[in-house]
Amino acid sequence: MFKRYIVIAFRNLQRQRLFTFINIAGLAVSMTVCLIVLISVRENFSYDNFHPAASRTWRITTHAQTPDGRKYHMASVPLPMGAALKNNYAAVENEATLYGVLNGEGKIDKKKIYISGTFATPSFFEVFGFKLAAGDPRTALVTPNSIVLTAETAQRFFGTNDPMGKVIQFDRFGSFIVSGVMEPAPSKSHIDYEAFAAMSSVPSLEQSKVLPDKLNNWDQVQSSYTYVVMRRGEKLSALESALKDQAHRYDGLVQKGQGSMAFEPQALSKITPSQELVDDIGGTPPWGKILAEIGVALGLIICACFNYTNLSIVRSLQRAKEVGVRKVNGAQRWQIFLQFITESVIMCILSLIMAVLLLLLMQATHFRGLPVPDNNLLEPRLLMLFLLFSIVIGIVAGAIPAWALSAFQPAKVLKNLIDIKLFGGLGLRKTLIVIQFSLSLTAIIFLVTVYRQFHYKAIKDMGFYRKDILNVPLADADFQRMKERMLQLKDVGTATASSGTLGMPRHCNFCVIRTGESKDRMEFGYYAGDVDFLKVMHLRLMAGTTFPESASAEKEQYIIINEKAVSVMGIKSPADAIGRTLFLSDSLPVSIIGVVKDFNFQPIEVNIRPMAIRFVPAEFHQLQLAMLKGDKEQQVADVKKIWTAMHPGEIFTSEWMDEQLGSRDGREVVSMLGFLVFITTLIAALGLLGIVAYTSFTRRKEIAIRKVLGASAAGLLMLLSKNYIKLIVIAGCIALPLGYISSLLFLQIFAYRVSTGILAMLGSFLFLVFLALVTIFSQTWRAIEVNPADNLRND
Amino acid sequence: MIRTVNLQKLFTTEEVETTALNGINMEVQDGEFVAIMGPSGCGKSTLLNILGLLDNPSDGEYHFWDKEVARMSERQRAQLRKGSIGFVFQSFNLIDELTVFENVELPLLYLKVPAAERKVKVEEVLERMNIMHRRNHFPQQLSGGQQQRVAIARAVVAKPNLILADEPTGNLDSTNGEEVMKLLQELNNSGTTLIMVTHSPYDAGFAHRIINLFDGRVVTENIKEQFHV
Repeated sequence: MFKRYIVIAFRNLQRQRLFTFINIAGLAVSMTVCLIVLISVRENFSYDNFHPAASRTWRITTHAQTPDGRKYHMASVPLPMGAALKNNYAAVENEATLYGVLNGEGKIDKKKIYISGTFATPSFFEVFGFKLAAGDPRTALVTPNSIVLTAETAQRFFGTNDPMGKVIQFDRFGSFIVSGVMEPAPSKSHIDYEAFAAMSSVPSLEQSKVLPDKLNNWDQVQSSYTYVVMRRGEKLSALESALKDQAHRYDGLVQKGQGSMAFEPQALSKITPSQELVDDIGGTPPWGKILAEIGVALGLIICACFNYTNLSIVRSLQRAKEVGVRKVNGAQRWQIFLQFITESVIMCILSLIMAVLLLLLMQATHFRGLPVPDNNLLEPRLLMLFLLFSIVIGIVAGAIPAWALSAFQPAKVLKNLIDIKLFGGLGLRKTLIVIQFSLSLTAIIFLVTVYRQFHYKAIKDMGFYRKDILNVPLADADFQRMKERMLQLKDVGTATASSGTLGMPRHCNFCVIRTGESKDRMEFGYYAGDVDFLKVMHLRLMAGTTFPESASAEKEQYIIINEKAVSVMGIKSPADAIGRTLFLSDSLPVSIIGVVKDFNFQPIEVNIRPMAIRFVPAEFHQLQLAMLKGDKEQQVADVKKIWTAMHPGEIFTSEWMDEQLGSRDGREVVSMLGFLVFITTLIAALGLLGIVAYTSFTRRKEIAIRKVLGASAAGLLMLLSKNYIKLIVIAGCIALPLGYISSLLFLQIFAYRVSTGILAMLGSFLFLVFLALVTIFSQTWRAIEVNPADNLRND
Repeated sequence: MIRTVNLQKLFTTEEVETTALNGINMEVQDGEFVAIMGPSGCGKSTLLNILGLLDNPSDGEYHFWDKEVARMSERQRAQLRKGSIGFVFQSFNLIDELTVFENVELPLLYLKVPAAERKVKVEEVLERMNIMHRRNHFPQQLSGGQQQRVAIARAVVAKPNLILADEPTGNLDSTNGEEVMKLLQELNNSGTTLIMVTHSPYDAGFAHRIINLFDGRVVTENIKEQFHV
């Protein structure tokens, strides 16, 4: 029987080519997006599934409250927490503590690579399931200054050579001997450090003041993470009461009203997707992102399912006779239901095959409209998951039509097909069309706003110069020497050393400043820059001057601030500010030497805040070269020559400042959103095409009679189209406010933004109406063009 | 086999109430061939649908093999219908997507007859209907007469005790019509009970008995020997 269902399904698909094409195309395209999301979701939920006692392992987190009442839930805890728990509570079987501050360039001979690492207790390899490819997990993290590298980091440093016993030199932390190399983990982990150094290295680093005193400090929370394994049979409440116990240390703080600290266990399995705790390790995907992805995928697949439901209902007239005959010959309703469900599942499996092929094609062509995963798509478990997904979609899409079709009464359908009405006539179909078009239109309006905002961001004058400026890393070279060498090039106009690029997120540093008169401390953003910083960046001085050539590189004496800082400090005018003394970090006095006009030193999502430009050569990271007009490739090559001569054996990198800022203008987001909107619109248009085609077909007799009675083509076109146009207008009434609100919410992210653009919204709507009209007219025109005699004769 | 007492059928729409059957009392014995005649709209097809358990009456009794079936649910009716009643329609009602073989096989599929047995039974009935050479064709590839022979094959393949035919020759020319009527007569001769709705006095002549309906009532019943032998 089942085999027969499949055979019939294929015969039907072959016979109804338009129906098949619309359904499979819509489903396949939306399924492609769904598969991408499915892979990503599966990956996000398979974090940390390889640890030996995962169900008994907990991370300790901190609920901290500041004296001014701000609350933070932090992933980190005070560094002594792990030892305190293990030593004092029998219920705790084991603990591992990470202290994630081992960041910096690791050096081997001439090779320098940036490492993001952590200090870890020796028990790390007992608590977590990471395996060593080389070295002994019991001893690898025991001896001070021993370090375990991930397989990838070892490969980057040593290539195919054996890393064991080699020495890696850190400028800040000294030398570490490689005592182990990890195997690649069987799945992803939220612990994504590149190197793990023995925690026993920390005491001497604290002694030499390289690291702050934290080993025995219960007041500092940042960067230290504790995981405990509870003994078998021990309840969570045992851990909770131990943590409550530990929180009593802060009773004094609470009494004085200086804030509070409390601790809470977090199951290992609940760490990813991340709940976006403050100071979390690494970049695990947050819930918000996962839910957004699932939302987009669901939206698309629902649109495609609507097409199937709609078209199946329109086609029900053609299938009604078949249902009647089957029932007369003994079929039960559930058998008919099963037959139609089988058909829709087959349709979905065919779409799945197309979707997988599409994904393979995207992988092969490095398609950039969507974040295509680089997984092996033909892995059996993944394919099984895809198959299961498409079967579920098949059942969802097919359920309503199957239910409706299987309800036909044979006595009625075999007699008079015209009388069949489903779901009170056209109600359901109309509703589905309206939902589809509302979704598409909302998406289009939203995209247009996103595009306009990103375009605005790209062209907005942020108040500094960004063109023809080449950023080159200093990489430990003396800034003055390198600057002089670069200025000898004929194409380098001016140059400045700086701590980062203006306008780039996270390039701005922060410091605490106190004015001479008041005790109030204020947080300032700052960039370190040299005497030519204002000149290269075209920053306008409102009063005072830039740093003098004689400024000391060792002792900071001067500071340049912006107008906002002047007003925040309550100084009347920029000129008044010149010569005043500020205290940096409470103690270092500096004199205001200049005031610059306000500019967006941070991305435009953020308002302009008080900021300073400080002359701190120790913080200079890069040289920014203002190039004259010329051959850019040649200019980079010339700069590279000098740089390489100063850094033998090192790899040269450089970036044009406008491109660096441009990479942040969200072009990728726009292209991805654009693609998704294209798909939604395509699916909606295809659905409409199908429905109009079928209803024109079913109304062919009516059209013929009207023509015989003298109706004009224009009149008929109007008659057949007006219902659909009404639906599109209703969709517009729903989508315009929705699009407006979602655009408004999106624009709230930006401190400097475009208006919501009523004209752009109306334009989007008119575009959709145009698209719908083309679809409707093309189909109805075909129906009108037929000679009426043909249709009446065939009836 | 069949007995109805005061059978009523009302069709109600928002504005009008139509009485399709108005107190039908009739009996059909095993092995009988009964023709139902009457003008358009007199309730012939409605009666046939009720007798065939495709529809329920609004009132009255319907005994099918001494079992009261008038108030049965669709599910129960379908169960009873399966294997015991065969249908032949004026417009053949073959499924376009199925081949001749598959169309005929349909009732056996729903009776869960094993595949090998199905094949034997279908081929046997196709031979009998002289349509075996067309077994792999689709309905649209056949003439009207051939299509009706397939429909009859489908109606008899499960060896039902009762065959209901709704104007079986209505869409056929006289030669094909004659052929179909002969087939039905043969079936009746081999013991199958037949009830046929027809407009054609000639076709009615094949029956043992003619029931004339008018405005939903039985007006006359002619018991007679068959005209055409």
